[in-house]
Amino acid sequence: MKRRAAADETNNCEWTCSEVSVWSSHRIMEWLRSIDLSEYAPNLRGSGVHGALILYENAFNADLFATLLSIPTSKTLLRRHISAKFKQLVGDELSRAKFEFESMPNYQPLIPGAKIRVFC
Amino acid sequence: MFCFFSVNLPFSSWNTSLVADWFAMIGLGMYVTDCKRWCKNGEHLMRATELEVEKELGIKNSLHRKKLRLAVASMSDEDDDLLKCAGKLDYLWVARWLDDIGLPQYKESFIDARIDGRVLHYLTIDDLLHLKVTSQLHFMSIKAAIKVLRENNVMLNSICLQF
Repeated sequence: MKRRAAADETNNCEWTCSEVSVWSSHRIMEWLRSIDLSEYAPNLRGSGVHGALILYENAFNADLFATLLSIPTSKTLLRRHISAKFKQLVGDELSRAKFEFESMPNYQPLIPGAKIRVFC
Repeated sequence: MFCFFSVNLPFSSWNTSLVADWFAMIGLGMYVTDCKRWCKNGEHLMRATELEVEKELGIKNSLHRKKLRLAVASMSDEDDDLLKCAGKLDYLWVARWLDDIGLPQYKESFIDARIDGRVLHYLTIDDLLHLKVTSQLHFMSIKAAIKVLRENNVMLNSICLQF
């Protein structure tokens, strides 16, 4: 699992999906620091956000990410910044998949505090 | 943790003492006394019903029973090399993994339940509820992380991991 950026790693968004998929929670926080969101990084503690969740879970989108970071919806510029960086991190293909998921008729955004619903 | 020595016997032929040592090695040391009292040999353990495991070995914790069941099943593979390094995905590795995926708050309950790589591979929603994971988001986090472990053949090969 990738916990830290390599010494020579630049933040030019040149990571492949398979690289980001093994990013640990700490590596995500490092990435946040690299995109000027250091003050919000600590909010991810205990959230369970790691590379694979961001990539593979279609319900995990930029909006949810911003909410988990405690970025108020009123901060539209900041949210737009995070949205753009999120798309870069996730890549075009997965961004499309997430968008399609959100466009589905019964789509309901995931609320951070929501409990697992078990259907018997 | 020590490396388990090479035993040139199938698990079914292991005597009580060996089975008890193995219990301790896989993290079920709290049942060693019960094991020594009841378990005749490996075969006896392999044939034990869920009820016997609960009553005779005193394993009331359903996740401990699941762990034992999966561990015994993995030992029954006659083709397996019995030289197993304790550095495989044991319950301490899983605890550290929870740190990595940003869910350190569940370490205690996962450690209490002795969740190792094998149990992780077969984890159900019911198990997660037992482990006090009730959040939809956290469930998704664990699910995605397990998917990555599988993709990277971490579970299949059970290699000794060096991070």
